[in-house]
Amino acid sequence: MRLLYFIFLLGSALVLQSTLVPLIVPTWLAGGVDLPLIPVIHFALTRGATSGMLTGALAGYLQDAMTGGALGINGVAKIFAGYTGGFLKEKLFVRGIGHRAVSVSGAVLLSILSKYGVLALFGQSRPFIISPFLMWAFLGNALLVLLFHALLSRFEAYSGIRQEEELSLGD
Amino acid sequence: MPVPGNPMRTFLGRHHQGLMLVALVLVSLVIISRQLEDSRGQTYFAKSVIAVMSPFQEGVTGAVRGIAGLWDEYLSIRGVKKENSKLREEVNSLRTEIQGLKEDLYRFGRMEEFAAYVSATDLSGIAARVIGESPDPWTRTIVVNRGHKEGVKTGSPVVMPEGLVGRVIEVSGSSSVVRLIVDRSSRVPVLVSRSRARAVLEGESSGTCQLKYLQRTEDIQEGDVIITSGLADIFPRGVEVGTVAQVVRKDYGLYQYAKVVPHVPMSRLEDVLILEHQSSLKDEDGTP
Repeated sequence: MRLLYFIFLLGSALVLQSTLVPLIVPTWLAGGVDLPLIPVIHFALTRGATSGMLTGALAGYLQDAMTGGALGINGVAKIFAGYTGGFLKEKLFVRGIGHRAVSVSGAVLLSILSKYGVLALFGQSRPFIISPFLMWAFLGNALLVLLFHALLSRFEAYSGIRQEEELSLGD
Repeated sequence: MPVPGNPMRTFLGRHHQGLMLVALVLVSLVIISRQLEDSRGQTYFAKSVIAVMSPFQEGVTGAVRGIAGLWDEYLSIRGVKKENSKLREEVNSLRTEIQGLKEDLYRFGRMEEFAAYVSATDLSGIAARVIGESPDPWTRTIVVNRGHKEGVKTGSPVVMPEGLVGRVIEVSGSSSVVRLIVDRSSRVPVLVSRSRARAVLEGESSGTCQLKYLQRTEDIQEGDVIITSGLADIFPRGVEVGTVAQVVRKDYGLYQYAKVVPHVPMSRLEDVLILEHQSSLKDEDGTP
C-alpha cells in the first residue's frame, strides 16, 4: 500500500509537471512550480534524509528523462532537497509550522542552488546571482511544498498510511 | 547504526547519510558530465578525465618519448657510424675516380697536342706512355708501353710537341726502350736554326747536352734554337731539340762547343710520341 502510494504520488507529480504545468503556467512563472519537489521533500520530512535522497534521486532522474534535459541536473537538485529536508527535520525535530517552513525552505533553496550551481559548473548557465527568477523559484516552490506537505500529511493520517506517532510530525 | 569495536563501521554508521549524499552527487555529476559538451564540443566527462589523467599521460609520454629518443639516438649513432664508414669508402672511391679522370683529362690534352703536332708536321706516329725509367744515373733511358705489336721498330725517333726526346733502341712485344738525347751515348745530327751551322749533339747525363763538332767559324750564340738536321736518316728534319745556354770557344782548336738545354723536361716524361722509322717513311714514299 505504501509502495503504491509512493509510486502514485511520485508518478502524478512527474506526469503533471511535464504535461499540465506547461499548459496552464506561463513560461515566466514555470520556474516556481516544480511538482516533483513536493513528494521528495514530503518523504524527506516524514521518513528522513536517506529516504529523501533516494526519492530525490529517482524523481530527479525521471524528471530529467521526461523533460529531455541532461540526465542528472534535476537529480542532483532533488538529492540535495531530499537530504536537506531530512537533515533539517532530524535536527529541528519538526513539529510546528515554523520548523516545517524552515525545513521546506532550506530544502527548496538547496535544490535551486544546487541545480543552478551544477549548470554553472558545466558552463550551461551564468554563475548564481540573485535574480527575480530565482526568487520566484524559491518562494513559489517553498509555498507549494508547504501547502502540499500539509495536505498530504492530513491525507496520510486519515487514510492510515502512517502511524499516529509519525503523523504527528505533519500536524 | 554504529557497531562498537570497529572504527570503520562506526564511521560509516555515523556518516552514512553524508556519504550517500556525496556518492549520489558524484555519480550524478559524472553522468551529467558525460552528456554536456563545452563550446568545443567536448564532453565535460572527457574533459575531466583528460584533466585528471593528462599529467600521468604527459609523464608516461615524456618517459616513453625520452626512451624512444635515446633509442633513436643510439640507432642513429649506429646508422651514422655505418653511413660514415660507407661515405668514407665512397669518398675514397670518388677521389680515386677524380684522380683517374684528371689523369685522363691530362692525357687527353696531351693526346690533342700530339695530334696537333702530327697534323702540323705531316709526321705519323703513335702515342706511348712512359712505364719505366733506368735506375742507373749514368744511363738515361725510359721504357714505354708500345712495342712490336703496335708497329714500333728499333731506331724510331721519339718526340714530344716541345721537342726531341730520343730514339728507340730496343723493342719487345708490348714495350720499348728509348734512349734519351741526354744519355752519354746519344748522338744527334743537328743544326743551329738561325745560322744553319751543322753540329752533333751529345748527351751529358746531367740533364743537358753538349754541341760538338761545330766549326770555330760558325755563328752561334746563347739563345739559339737547335733543331735536327735530318742527316743519317734517323731523325726527321726540323724537330726542335733545345736552346743554347752557353757557348765555349777556346783560343785553340778547330771547333767550338755549346751547352744546350733540351726543350723537353727529361725527368718528367709521361707520354711521348713514337714516330715511324725514317727508312720506313722513305720506303713508303718510294724514295731511297
